[in-house]
Amino acid sequence: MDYINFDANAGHTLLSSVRSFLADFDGAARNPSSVHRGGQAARVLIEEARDRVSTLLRLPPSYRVVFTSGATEANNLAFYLATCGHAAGTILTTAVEHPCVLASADHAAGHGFQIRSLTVQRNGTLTPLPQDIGSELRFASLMLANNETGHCFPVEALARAIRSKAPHCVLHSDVVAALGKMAIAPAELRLDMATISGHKVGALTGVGALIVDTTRVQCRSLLRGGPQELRWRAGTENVLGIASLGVAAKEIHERQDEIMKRLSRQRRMVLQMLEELLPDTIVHHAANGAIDSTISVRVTGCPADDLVVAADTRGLHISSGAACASGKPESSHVLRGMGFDDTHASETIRISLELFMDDSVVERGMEILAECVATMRGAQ
Amino acid sequence: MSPAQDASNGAKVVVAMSGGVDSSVAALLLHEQGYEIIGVSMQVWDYRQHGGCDSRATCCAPSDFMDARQVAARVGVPYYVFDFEELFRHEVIDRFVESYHAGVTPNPCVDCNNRVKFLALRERARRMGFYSVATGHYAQIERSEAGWHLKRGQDGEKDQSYFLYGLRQEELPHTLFPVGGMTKAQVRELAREFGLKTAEKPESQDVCFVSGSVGEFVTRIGGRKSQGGAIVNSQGEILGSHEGIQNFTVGQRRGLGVSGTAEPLYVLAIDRTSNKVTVGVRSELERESFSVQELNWVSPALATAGGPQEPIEVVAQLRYRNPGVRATVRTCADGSAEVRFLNEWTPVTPGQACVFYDKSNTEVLGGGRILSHPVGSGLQWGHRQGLGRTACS
Repeated sequence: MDYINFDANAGHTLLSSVRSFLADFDGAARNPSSVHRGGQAARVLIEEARDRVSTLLRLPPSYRVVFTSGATEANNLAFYLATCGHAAGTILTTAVEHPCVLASADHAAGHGFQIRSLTVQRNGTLTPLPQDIGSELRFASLMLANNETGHCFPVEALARAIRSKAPHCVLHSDVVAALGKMAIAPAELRLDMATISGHKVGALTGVGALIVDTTRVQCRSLLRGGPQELRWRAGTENVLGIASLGVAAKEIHERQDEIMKRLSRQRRMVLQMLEELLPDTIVHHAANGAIDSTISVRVTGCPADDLVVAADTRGLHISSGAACASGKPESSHVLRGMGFDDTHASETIRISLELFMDDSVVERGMEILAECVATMRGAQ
Repeated sequence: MSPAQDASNGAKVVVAMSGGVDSSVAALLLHEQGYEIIGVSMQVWDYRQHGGCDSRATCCAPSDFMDARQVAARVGVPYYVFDFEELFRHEVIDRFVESYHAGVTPNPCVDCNNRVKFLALRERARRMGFYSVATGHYAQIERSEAGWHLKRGQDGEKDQSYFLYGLRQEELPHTLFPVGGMTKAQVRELAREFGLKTAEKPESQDVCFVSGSVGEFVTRIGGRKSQGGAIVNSQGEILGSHEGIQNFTVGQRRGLGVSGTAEPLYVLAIDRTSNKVTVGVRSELERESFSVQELNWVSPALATAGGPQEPIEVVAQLRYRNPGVRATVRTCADGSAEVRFLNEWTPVTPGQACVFYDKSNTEVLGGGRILSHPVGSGLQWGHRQGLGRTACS
């Protein structure tokens, strides 16, 4: 199927390196726990992937990459690791986290934890850390960049501030949206844990990882079962998925500078074309900067749900926000959390570029978008 | 805009896919004929939140959508879910509930067609550059020099033209009923041949958004406590009591809670002010004439003339799947129409659609909603039970 993907934050096209890896895969039976050479080969694939992810994220030796089924599991695990064994305490997060973080926070609230949520202003600025935050703060989960708006949050500064007030607080960040678009080093951001996802960076779906500082977080498995992942995650490893994440991490690591330069240029292109072709759109700019690949924009007078369909019929994949499993569009909790009204949210689309796209493809995508808007407006 | 009936003009068509076999085959046929189509399911009711079809509910959509999605993929066309919950609630559910509270039997399928499928869906599709709407209805559209004609479906058993009288002349060129010229058996056979998973799917029998009894639904969704009242005969004698008028349809025979009469009793009238339900024998339902409001004239001549100014002879169909009866109809100064039975009568139920066909009983001339107004001792007209319980059409 021929299409242009402006919805990479939902799903990234498999990287070429991943595709060749899969094409070369011999299809042999592989369980990394097996003693025989088949098992050994699988083990090698997984450990190689772990090394590659560690290299990409510049992890010091005390940090472990725990492979999971995806970011949702990794975020659930992060909450579990930080809260298990503690009767109560405070959890700090933001109003614009992924639903799996918000739901985990709700769950913790049901078990006696107090949840404090930083709100986000329209320009992407987080409200300041509450003055009364103290040593009772048990866990903080603050995303590095928002998946819908692309807005970045000053996680490192927040981590320092939190550390000074609550030295034992476990710090976690969902860096799914930021991965690949910028160089990320969780240890340098002073994070104890970080979450990544495979299919957002051109690996297979069904794989993710939680990065854990093993000196700060006690080992536990959310799933009961075998001793896989050094007892951090029970269950036979998703060998191919994990290997694909390793391959993607390697390619991104080797080409990180090139990617960042390209995305920076393409962001300027997109903004310029929006200004020229759709001058009455409103871009959600961020005071603290944004990941270059992601632009959230309101197309006034065009319901985003319809624009998404119109674009799809012309071969452009784009989204009105986060993906919904059922296909039924829901209004964005992120934009509502930022204080935008329902109409504003319902007319907002997200352009999220892939890591490796030709400028001409980006240009063509923008032209299709403009054609769709013209059709929709012409029909009114 | 050129009519959609000709695929060669590159018409772009949105196919309303319910997840049933008829709309599945509609999508298949149009795709085969070379139309550029998209399949759309309309999210009209949150089954998780409101109940109804619970066993079929999956995420926020019923499993029917999963069927539609798979069929679309099999046929090779894009598929989307459009959210019409708010509109449907307002235009269909609220009217449905209000009607029952007013002692009138609603026709939600007509409302859905007129206000959602062929209006809101058409409008949304148009904005995306899709100027025609197709459905799996059993009805046919033909063109003559005079204009466009809406006709009964080829399969007399399945004909659904009754629900479509709200279509207007200017909409007909942009409306497609791909299975209208087929029998249900042929539709299923085609679905089987192409391996569509909906080929053997049974037909839905109930109002799509109601699970359980209509009375219970109306009470729950309407948010009003039901008030009991008396069951009386047409002389005003109390025969029994009931727990709320929403449990009754005018014309209903079963479940009246009144026994010991020689002849079966029917609900003759429901009085919302006194909460009285009047019952009587079948002959008491007989009327010579009745009024129809909210009219739409479909046929080219009547659409232009704004309806028959002088009485014309028609076949009037007063409920789905009922044979029509011969009658005359003419429009009145107040915009309503007067219908007079010719040599036989059929029970008349306020709120239901009355659709006029030509004398040969093949073409839809127009239709409207049977007017609810008191006659004589405050009686309203009605007929037998089961109305509003037709499959979504």
